[in-house]
Amino acid sequence: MSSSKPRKPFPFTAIVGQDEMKQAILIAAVDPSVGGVLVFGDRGTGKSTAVRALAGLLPKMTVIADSPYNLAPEATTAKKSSQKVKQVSVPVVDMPLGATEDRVVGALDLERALAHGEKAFEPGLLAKANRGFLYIDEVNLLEDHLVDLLLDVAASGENLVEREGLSVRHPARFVLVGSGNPEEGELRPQLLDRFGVSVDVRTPREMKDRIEIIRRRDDYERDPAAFCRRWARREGAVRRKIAKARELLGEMQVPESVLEIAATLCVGLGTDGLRGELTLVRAARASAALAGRSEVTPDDVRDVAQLALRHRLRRDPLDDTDASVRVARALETLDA
Amino acid sequence: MSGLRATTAEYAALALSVVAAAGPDLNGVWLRSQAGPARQRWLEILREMAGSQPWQRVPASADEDRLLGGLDLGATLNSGRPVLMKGLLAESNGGFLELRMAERQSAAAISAICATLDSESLRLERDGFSREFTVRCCVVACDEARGDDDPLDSRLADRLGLVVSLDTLSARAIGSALLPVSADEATSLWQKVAVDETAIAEWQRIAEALAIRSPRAVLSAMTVARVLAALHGRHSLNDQDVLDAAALCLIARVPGALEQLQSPPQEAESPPEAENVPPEETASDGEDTGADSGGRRPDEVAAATAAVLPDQLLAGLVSEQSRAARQKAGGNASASMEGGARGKPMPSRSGMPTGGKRLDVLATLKTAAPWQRVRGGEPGRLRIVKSDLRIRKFTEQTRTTTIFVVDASGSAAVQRLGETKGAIELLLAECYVRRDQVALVAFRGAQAELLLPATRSLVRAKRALSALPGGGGTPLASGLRLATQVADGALKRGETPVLVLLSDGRGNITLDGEPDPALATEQALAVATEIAARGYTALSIDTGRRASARGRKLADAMGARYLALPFADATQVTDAVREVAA
Repeated sequence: MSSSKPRKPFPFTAIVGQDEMKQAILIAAVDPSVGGVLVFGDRGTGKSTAVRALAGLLPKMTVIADSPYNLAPEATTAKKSSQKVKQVSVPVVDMPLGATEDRVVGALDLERALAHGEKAFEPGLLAKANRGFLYIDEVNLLEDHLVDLLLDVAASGENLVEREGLSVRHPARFVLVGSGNPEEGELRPQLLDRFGVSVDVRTPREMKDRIEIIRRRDDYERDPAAFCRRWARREGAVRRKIAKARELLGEMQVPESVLEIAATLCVGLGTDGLRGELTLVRAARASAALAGRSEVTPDDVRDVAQLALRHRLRRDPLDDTDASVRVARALETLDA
Repeated sequence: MSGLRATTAEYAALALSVVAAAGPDLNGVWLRSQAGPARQRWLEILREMAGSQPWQRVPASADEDRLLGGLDLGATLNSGRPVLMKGLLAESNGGFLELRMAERQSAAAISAICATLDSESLRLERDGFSREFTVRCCVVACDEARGDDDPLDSRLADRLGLVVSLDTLSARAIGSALLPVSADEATSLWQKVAVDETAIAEWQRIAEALAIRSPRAVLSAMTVARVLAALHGRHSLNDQDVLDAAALCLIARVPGALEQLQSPPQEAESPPEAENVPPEETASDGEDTGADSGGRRPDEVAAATAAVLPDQLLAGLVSEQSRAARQKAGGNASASMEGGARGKPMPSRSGMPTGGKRLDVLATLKTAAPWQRVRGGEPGRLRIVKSDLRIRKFTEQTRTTTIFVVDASGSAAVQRLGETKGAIELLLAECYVRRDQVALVAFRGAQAELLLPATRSLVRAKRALSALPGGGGTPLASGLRLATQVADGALKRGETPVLVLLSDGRGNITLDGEPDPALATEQALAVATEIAARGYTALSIDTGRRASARGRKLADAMGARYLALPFADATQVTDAVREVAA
């Protein structure tokens, strides 16, 4: 009845349907500056599965060996030649809901303090997630004080620790990925706004899809390793697609027409501030790169408009219309 | 012959064998039963079957430290360095985790359990420890919720593969099923049992009919059917396995459904709204046809299930199910908000216990514990320094639950409901940060109905409001009485109830549902007086064409602020509510 190791996560490509969710995650993987993914929706739709599968898709990154913050070699200026570097997987850090604050921000390393009398900093989850992803399942249930803390760090890109006589500052740039079920409580608007793109996931309606979900899940449960082997080729293809898209991103052309469309859309929908527009263009760039192109087209903007804008609309309590519908309408006006 | 089994005892017995054979693969069992001899017996048998596997019990009072693990204070003091105490969850690896009063476990505990079930590992990030434990366990969730209690957290309920109800059984009826293959042997055999698409489609169809949307339930049905086949020494499923699995994993999810389906159809309650149901087949007919055709092909199972699940009954069950789901989510929302509402302390932080901040003794001891040897503390004498001090703050404000009591009778109902709807959504939209809640009681026809249990989810509110019916008599007293009960419930949860009545004050239906304007008015005033006696903050908005003495009298009896708003719009209502609640 007991198994030895934690099993391999369910492959990303084996998730049935949910194309929008997959696209959103890939966009964030290609361009972290898009700023986080929020996946909200029905139970049992593979929200957590998709995020946990992400680690397997990301190209490795170079870090200074034994850097607790996953620092890149170019990040430190001095003694460049003597630095030892290594290739590691991009961290996808899972933040459990019961995590205590000391483990999130980091705290005094008790072991070292006691054994050697040293005042050393033991990095927390924010340090682990630097240059990677921080995943919070049920983000809508997270304790307020942790939410505030995360918002603060996400905004500044660095973690400032002042506790137990320690004063530490370290980079903490991560892509925040949150998931949850809106029926259990909604997300504070401030937090909502922090996410670059958002996805609504629904249980597939098609019987064929639903049966396929059960089939694959069952195959996986019976023999995770064999199942992952069967999907290895498809996983590899996505991994290469991400790597190529990242290269393309550097030389991406953004024509004036694309910027215009983005601006028109945002004005039409009355999204607050420039953040929506910026995210829209960035997401469109990443989407074009994923399609293997080096120029953004107006269609790229249309493709990602829902992802980038639907959670930014100002809520009008007297207007029942779903945010997605409002974005769709704005898109139609654009075409007219 | 395949069909539903005649008694719940048979399912309880089958469930025992299935859980013993494949508990962790099913995540566990949702044991819906009051504490009593039947449940005790069922658990005893399971424990016997579990043999030497670990069995951890989690009382409802267990705190996060005990469940997840954390710093072991005693051992840390003794050894002079931080010692980890493993939690019950980690200790249950390879065995069982019995959740006592599962419906009362905190949202945080449920979250941790769900995450552990999903990943088969427990990530611990607490008290300076960062560890990961492999945990594969079978959760036995003892759910004693009944009536108005908050039901089991739907996140956990959704993950538990089997559902067993024992309330109608006596302890003597509980026993294990005599099956050709033992549970231990079946553990290694069941994964080899083949399942064809038709069976999956069949479960899928039943799940859809019962409004079970999550694919997890069907996945469990598949596992359970396999285990059942293995327990019978077979390598493929037969119709009975398919149906048994459907009963244990799908039908049993809807409270009372199995019992109803097992009893003759005329006893099954048929909801009044299902009128045009073709009266072709009833449950007993279906079972009869099952009896005379011996070896049926799997696609015939579809027909058989359709027969045992008459449309009419389904309609009733589905509405019951969705009602249960509504309430369930409500329970969650309030449970997860506990931190704010019950004055439950916020997590400890370092600081000085001054001005309203209280010392968190345990957290302070924990902080100081590892240092004792270095500081030269002796047994029985702790050395505590200023930086050890931990305080806990309590959230300042209690949550407000605004209960709208809406007159949905008569011709003006539609418009009034529109206004209320707008007001509710306005309130909710600005409630996020304060985490206030809104509930909605509507009355019309013969009685009052709780359309929206206290929630702060705009999504849920919108759903409930979009289906708001109007028209009929005015059972004002019933509406007020139900609202009082909702307010009592809110108060019990540590929230501050605020009642908002929207009516023209012309009650004409008595508490018993009889049309009698004089008595109805008298009763309404009586209930209003009760509200005043409880001291609930109340606002009475008169939606009649002009301000009336009757409306004012009712408001006075209720101790409510009176407001005549013949053309109340949502903003006005919201402003008024905000004012009284402040």
